[in-house]
Amino acid sequence: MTTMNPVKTRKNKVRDVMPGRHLQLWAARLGCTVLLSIGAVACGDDDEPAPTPAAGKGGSGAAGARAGASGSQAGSGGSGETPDCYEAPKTHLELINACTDAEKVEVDPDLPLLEPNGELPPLP
Amino acid sequence: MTLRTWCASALALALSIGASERVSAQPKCSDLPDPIYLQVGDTQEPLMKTLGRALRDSKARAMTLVYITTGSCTNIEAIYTGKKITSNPKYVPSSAEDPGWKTTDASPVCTIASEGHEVEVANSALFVSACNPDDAPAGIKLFQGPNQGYVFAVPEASDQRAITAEQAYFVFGFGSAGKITPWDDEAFYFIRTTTKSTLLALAANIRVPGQKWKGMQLDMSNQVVSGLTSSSDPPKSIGILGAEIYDRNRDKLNALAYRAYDQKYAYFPDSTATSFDKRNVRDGHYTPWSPTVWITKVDGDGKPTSVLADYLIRMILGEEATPKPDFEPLDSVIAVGLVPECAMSVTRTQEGGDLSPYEPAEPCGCYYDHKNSEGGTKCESCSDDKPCSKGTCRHGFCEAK
Repeated sequence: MTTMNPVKTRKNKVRDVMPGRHLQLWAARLGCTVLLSIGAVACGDDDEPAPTPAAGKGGSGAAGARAGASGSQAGSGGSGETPDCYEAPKTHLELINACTDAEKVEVDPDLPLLEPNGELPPLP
Repeated sequence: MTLRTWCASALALALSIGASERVSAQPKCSDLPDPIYLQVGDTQEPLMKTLGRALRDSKARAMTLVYITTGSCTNIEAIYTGKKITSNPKYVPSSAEDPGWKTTDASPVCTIASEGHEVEVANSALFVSACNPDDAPAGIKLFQGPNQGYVFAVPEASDQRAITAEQAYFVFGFGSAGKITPWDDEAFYFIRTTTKSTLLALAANIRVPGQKWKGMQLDMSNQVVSGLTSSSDPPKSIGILGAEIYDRNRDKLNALAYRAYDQKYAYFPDSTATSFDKRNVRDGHYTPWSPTVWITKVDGDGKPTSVLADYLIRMILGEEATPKPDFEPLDSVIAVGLVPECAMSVTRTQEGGDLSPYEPAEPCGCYYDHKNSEGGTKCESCSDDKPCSKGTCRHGFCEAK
């Protein structure tokens, strides 16, 4: 089931213009992502169903596995192997990121209170 | 007595008689044809009106829906504890009684018995466990019905199009201190009280418990609509509504697309901002939705003890009802923006919980598309004279099974 707070958030999409603080944060996260991804590949994770990437729909690649769940964290700036969407979704993560022709809105919110490690702070 | 005095007296008498006639025109609830007493969430009032009108006019099995609207958690408690309806409820008039009445009009009111009346069917517009984690008392059963979406809404004048779960976490969990532009002033958050499904359903999705929400707590959905439409600062304003309520106010408000935790894009409840097909609720791209749950007393076999409650709940759930209704109950459910279980391809087991694939036993997705999608359905049509080449003929279309 969904993990409760603190929650590790997915990464924001990389934009052409990025504030310095966010750039540092993004770079740190990217590094962690690469390390975690290598770890995940090395260790293997048979519990996680193999994604069915949609051919020709690749973008920046974000809809990967749940952050912190399997190590194959979604996010922009990935290696390109992470599918943009899933053709045959089975898990929650795949269902919410399934391929669709529905109208979609890309959001890149500024979250000033986000923790440096990308987690949401506890509620006051 | 002068002529002027006489005329004034006569006018006063006439007005007095007219006033007393209007008062006496309010019927006793018990005098209405086959009344059934319900306590429902205010997001379900469109269903009460639409289904209620068809039921009042039914030749097969007429009944009168008599209802009050309160919060889901309050409704659950009322039927669990036997708390009676004591205030004058609304009812749905028949076409013979009020030919001009429309489902967008206010429902008339009837006079409740002095001792009140028990709640025969209660409604929760979210998983009951989100209000009360205990099992239902003996002799009371929960029937899971069609699903409803919930939306974050902004005034027409706002240029915002989407909100992420993370943004909503900071907006409603931290208020002004959350520093989320443009929603950085909690005086412009129009939310609901903590017994309402709208708040609790969205709370579970953004992971901010209902008691911790910042903003102006309002009792009724129409107060949220009014707050947003009359806001002195539309760009900073945001509110929460049931999707059916939003659908009836699209000329004044915009629903925000929502991006769940771990989701790449934000989506509207419908496949586009302007459609009504609830496709993203049905397939899991839009996660803030909950089942409506219908609660009533049952016998030892789990069958409702009230014949009227049994008939009504069967229609809401899309199950076979006897006598066969002379209208299509599914149409009433679909028309008010609810998504019947038979049109869903995802499910969940708790409020805001993870989604999993779902295959209804008797799917109705083709019929739903036919009724609600701009492009109609791509499914093959069928009838007694024109059987399906494959699949099962249901509601005039060849469903997968």
